[in-house]
Amino acid sequence: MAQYDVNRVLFDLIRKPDRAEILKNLGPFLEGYRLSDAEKAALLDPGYGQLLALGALPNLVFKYYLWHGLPPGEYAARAAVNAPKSGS
Amino acid sequence: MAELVLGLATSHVAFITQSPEMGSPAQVEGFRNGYQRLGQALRDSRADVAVVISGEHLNYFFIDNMPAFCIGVADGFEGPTERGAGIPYRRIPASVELANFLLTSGLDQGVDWARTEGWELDHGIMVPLYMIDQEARVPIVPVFINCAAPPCPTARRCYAFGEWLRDAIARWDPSKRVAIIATGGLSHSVGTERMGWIDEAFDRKFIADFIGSDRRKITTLTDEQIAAAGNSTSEIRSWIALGGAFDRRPAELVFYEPITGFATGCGQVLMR
Repeated sequence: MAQYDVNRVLFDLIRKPDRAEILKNLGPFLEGYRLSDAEKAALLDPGYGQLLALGALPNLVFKYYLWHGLPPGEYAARAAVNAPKSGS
Repeated sequence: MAELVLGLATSHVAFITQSPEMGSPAQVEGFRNGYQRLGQALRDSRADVAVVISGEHLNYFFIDNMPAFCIGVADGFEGPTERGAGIPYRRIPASVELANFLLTSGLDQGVDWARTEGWELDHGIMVPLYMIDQEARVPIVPVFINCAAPPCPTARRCYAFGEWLRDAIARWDPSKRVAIIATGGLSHSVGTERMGWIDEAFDRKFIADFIGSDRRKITTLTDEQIAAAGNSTSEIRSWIALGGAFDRRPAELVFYEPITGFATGCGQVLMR
């Protein structure tokens, strides 16, 4: 089952008009959420595989990846690090 | 009784409008030609309204209040949420009358609907509608099935939902002609480490069962089987619902190719 707060962060970022600025200094934005240390670290790093392992929903993690300006074609490799096995 | 005149199923991948050069030219041309066929079929059907069934990509629906089935009730809907989808941001007219009819019918018997009056549609609905009905001549009733935040309605439940939808439409205004458009799938993964992989064997088996004489076979798909073909393969739930609505009616495969550049098994089917 998805973890609410880490997903809430990602979902709330969708409609933030100042998202680019928020991502440059994410720490203060995260203060408004009840996150574990691991969740905070995964968001700040950012660790896409870690986020998946912590229960972040894949659609939201991929959006988060794209917001960081990274090429879509490299996502699978980056997400494979520490990711849970899909389809199992 | 209202007449169910047409069923269309199509993948809704935004690459076709956003960056078609990512796919092989022959495959992309085939997919586009398929959309033209679907669009012509919609025009030929003289449908007064189209019920459009789709999952959504966690742009509007979220786990704070995630419905299994939700119906959009408004006189129009705007989108796409994704401004970079390669299509204009626009408003699609919608049928409040049919939406309210389906809503109240379901709440009496058959579907414990959620409803939304403020749904901004994402590429899952707006890209296929742009390709099929660019002039937005046919008003819609958008219907959401949760496909992105498990647990999701089972294949069996989605098929039964489609059967209910067929019967409910039949009880509507006898002067009206109704089409159903299902979007999503086929096999693909978004946001997992398998992103880019297509399960062509799954897709071809699903299509064979979907257009075959015993369409109910698709109701035996388990959540695990669907997920094993890619997390976003979950979107075939809209196809399964269409299958239920057109139970026993003939279906024709219009297009299928595993388009590697789109990271999606892309399919289109037409049902009359």
